Amino acid sequence: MSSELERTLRELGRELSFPTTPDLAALVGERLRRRRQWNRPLGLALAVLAVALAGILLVPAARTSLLELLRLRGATIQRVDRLPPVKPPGRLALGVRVSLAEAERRAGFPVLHPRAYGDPDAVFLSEAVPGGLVSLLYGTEREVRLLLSEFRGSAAPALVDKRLGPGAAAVRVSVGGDPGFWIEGEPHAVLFRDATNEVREDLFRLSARTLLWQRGPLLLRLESRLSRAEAIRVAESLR
Amino acid sequence: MVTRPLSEPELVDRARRGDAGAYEQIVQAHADIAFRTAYLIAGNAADAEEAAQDGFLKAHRALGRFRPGAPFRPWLLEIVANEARNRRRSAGRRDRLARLAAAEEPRRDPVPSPEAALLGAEQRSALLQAVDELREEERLVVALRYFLDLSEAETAAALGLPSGTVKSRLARALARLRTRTEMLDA
Repeated sequence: MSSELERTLRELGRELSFPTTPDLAALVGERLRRRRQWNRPLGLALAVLAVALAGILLVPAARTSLLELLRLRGATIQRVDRLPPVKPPGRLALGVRVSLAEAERRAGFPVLHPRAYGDPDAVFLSEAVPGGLVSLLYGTEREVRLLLSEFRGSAAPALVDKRLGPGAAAVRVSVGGDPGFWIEGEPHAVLFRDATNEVREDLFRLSARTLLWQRGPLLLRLESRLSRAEAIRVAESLR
Repeated sequence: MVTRPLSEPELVDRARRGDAGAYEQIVQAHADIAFRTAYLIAGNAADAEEAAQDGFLKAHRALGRFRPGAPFRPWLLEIVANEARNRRRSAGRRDRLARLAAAEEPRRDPVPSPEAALLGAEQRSALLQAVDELREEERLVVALRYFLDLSEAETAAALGLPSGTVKSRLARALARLRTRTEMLDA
């Protein structure tokens, strides 16, 4: 049996004007579809990753437990509890050395570079990624001051698996309004998924600080010893 | 061909088997109550929206653990409310209920109930203010149970409390409100 006060409270409740309910069905539906799109390539990527690790990097697949997923439009960062050995900086497999104009012509996208640093000391083009992976090197291969990599995931959203060791940390950042991650700490290896659904491994990486971000159709990676703020400033100066 | 709308257990069953459209229908059906529950707990619309979205997504992931045939709403509200509580802790500030008082005289039923007829604008805002001034745990139990008209079981699920505790809190809150409104009436 309900008292008069209870009835009054219910009455009052019906008269309240709550903030408008957002279109949750659409929002949730969209996120579900996006998740499904991601899950398929990710599942495959993990399978390939396990094989690649067992075969190439001699790390048992079982040790590669997935701890966390951070999402960046074109990229997925996986945190793993064990990091495979990363090839030392002495063996930067950047591809063939080309001129900036040649890189642009063959990659088919305008290559962005930080105006403040002038022209890069060397430009490399790797065909390992369909569409081409362009690397701009400032400094030398033995003493890298700054390394900027760019590639386009054109036909399908590209998937980049960034494998982090336990000592590495990824922080969400904004690069001139574009979404990105700042990764610092341990060295890390990078796996790319290209438009043809193949997983490609980027064998080299510096044990440096990395800024990874999406700009339009490009995924960019800037590696250096710069601080986070400096790296973001450089990234924002890309033209 | 005549089609009938699917019942909720049928929709849940389809959603479990990966039918995103079926799940969207479920979300649609519970969007208001989920959002408002989250709003009352989190205390602001932005957190409530996030909590409701994340709650629905978590519930979707957990559909495999949902017991078929069990009532869906209390189960869902428990998940959404939990999301809202997590946000509440970090946010701190909350909207006062008095904000929700309709700016205009609410549209009345052609034949108003005696209480509604008696409850003028002033009394409404006084009562709302009295609820606002209750201790947080009592305010929430009153808001969910009466303003949203959740069942006792749903209120308990949303607040993560045994229903005995909900009962006793309600009784205490009502007694306090009665004293307060009688003082105002006097």
